[in-house]
Amino acid sequence: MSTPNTSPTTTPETETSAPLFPPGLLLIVAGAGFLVALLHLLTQPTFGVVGWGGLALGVLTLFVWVIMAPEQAASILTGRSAQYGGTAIVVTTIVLVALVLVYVVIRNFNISQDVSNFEVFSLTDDARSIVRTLAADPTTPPMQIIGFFSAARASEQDRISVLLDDFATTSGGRISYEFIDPDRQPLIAERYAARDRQFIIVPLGADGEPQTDQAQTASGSDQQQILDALVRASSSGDFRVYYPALRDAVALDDSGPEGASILSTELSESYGWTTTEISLLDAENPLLTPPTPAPDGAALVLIGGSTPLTAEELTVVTDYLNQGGDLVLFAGLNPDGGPALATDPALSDYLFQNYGLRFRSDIVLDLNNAILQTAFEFIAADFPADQFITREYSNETDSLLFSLTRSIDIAPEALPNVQVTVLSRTTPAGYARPDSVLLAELSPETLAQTPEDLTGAIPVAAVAENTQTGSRVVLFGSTAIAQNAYRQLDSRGVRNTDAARRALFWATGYDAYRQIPSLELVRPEQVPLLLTDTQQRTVAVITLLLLPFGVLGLGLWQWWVRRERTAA
Amino acid sequence: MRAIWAVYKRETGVFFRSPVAYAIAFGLLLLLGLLFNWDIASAAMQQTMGQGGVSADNVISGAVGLLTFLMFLIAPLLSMRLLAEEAREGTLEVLMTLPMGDFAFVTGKFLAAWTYYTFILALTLVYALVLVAFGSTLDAGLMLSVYAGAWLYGGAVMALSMIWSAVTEDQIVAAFLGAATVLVFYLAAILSQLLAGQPALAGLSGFVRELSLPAHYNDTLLNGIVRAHDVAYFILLMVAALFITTIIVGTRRWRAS
Repeated sequence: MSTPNTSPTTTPETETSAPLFPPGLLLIVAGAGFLVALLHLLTQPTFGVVGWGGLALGVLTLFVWVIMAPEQAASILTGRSAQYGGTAIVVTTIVLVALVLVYVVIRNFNISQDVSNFEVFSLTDDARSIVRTLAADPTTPPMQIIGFFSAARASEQDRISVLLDDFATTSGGRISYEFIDPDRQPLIAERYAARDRQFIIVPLGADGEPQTDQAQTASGSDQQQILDALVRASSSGDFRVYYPALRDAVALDDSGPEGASILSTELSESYGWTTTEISLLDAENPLLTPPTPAPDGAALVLIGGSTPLTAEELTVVTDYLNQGGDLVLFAGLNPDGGPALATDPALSDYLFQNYGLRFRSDIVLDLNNAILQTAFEFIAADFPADQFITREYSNETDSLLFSLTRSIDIAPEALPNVQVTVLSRTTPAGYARPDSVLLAELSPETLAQTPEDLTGAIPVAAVAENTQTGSRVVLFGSTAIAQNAYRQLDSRGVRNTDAARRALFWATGYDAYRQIPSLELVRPEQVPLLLTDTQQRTVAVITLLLLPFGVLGLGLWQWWVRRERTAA
Repeated sequence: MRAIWAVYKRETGVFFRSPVAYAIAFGLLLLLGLLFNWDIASAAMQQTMGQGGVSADNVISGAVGLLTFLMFLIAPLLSMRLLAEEAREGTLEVLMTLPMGDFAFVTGKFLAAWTYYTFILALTLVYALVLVAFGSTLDAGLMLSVYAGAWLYGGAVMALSMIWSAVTEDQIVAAFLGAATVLVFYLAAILSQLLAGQPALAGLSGFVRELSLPAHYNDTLLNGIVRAHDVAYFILLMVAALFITTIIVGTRRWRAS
């Protein structure tokens, strides 16, 4: 028989160990702490000091309560009342909180992987290579990708964060990222002039602070667009393109099909270059008076031009080249007959004597590779694999499209300190007619090959480098290489704009400065599903008849078996 | 474990001998088959019109995505009987006299229901096999993510629905409440969107979103993105639901005694 605990048997020790306040009070404090943490979690953008403080207070007081009243804690967690009584609610709550904590811990580890092959949420091999190159480049500052996503776009943010994780991991931590809700942190969004669902890439200074003035906006959320902005933001070099205003020349700011604005825009927006129109005879022009500080690289670009340079203009150009300047020249025509800028004997002689190459006054035709139903337009390849401009091109899938093209005359004997490389040639069936045929009435007869014509694999693009002065010259036989109209053929392997851009990279030494690989990313394509009518019918029979009705038949069979058993 | 196995074996047998379970599978497969064929016809039409078309991966993902959505109906129908029937027929108390714990009893029943769901899910692999047989290529990684996610999703909603089967003896009520519960978890994603419109409630919006089923499946696993916390979400949801169900079953037994 148990003895009721009513007799005055308390010892002096037990009297002194009586708590100063009821332990239950601690439970109230713990509850308040958890409540504060929960409210903070629900109302604040990040789980800050107040939240952590509330959580710590809750856990601490709960711990102290367990120490002070172990018998109460034990009775809650064990025994019949815990399992079946009113305290079951408390126990369930504790278990649920524990599960939530486990979830929060796992979530904070942020382990994720894009397991699909389509590389939408992970970097493609090409992109990975570019990110590694950027990260390994000592001139690249640490960079941060800031994604502006409102809470309503949480799903999209979740997916894109997997891609951004890949950026961060691949760069070895040189690229970091964070998301900002423009609705909750409008001041930051305002600072970058950012909208919802926009990415800003900002270089970080030595103190880790974002260099807001150098921030670049990605034009979309695709990895190609983020990568473009990253390359722009990382470009610390000063590279320039100078183009003089000349008669009938193609302008870099002309956005029409005959213009070259796409080339110019890509250079400025993707690589941070400066394109400047100059006057060759202006005493302040940068060819005569190099800017201070000197740019890291610059090139003179002449696209077309129907009339030769004046003697004074030619002197400016040749002086510039003699001092190690770089030239990219796209040959044009003189519609009135006579020499054009590129075929002017004075310029041609200078180029031939100093670089071992020049344009001829002719028009190249290659009927084997003619396209667009005109003999004057043809594609050419035969790319050298060891030259930067063409090294990523395949002779099978890539080509350059030439239109109204001049052939290039290469000196039979190499000049001292000059290295010449042919970039592209016609097929052996190519031939060059005098450009005077353009003035005559065009007919198959006038365009037909004659015994006097230059024939064979004719060079139509070439480069030369004077290793003594460092001067580099690139000649393209046609302005089509730089013109906007041909950019749209890029998807068919026509690499005109890319070649023009890479020619400028090579001429200015940008390739050595930044080691930038091609930004054209190749991503596995999703193959569309296409079944024949017969196949579709077979699929319908299998998935609409055999499968569901087979399962139904199984059910009926089971019902029948059970019925028989019940009857038996 | 032996007790779980014994319950599991018995319940699995019940499922595979139940005409009702087959009827549910029939209805589901017929609906999925219709969608699947509709998608294939649409893909062919888009190809004909030169609009690019839809990939085989998208068609399969679409079918499995619909299956997971329909789980708000299927899971309660499969789980409504599990405990409610035992309680109604008075066999629950008898079963509880056997030497096994409440958790083993509940877990065995849950695993049986999950096994039947796995059977139905596995049948949808026929769609993938048919397409592959006709020359389509499927992204193995994506398919693994889609199917493994759907399997976990099914387990989680089955466990959620099972709670109501323990609460009430009426199977219809259990199914109705189960469907409502799963829908709440499904529609939490939409509620989160609504809350996101109020900057002051953005934290609450994030919290609600973390609870929602689509945020852990449709937004990620269905797109080939495997995140540890998505997998953990489904597993922990199962554990939580099974724990609650165990407590409820135990409480009923205690009250009955």
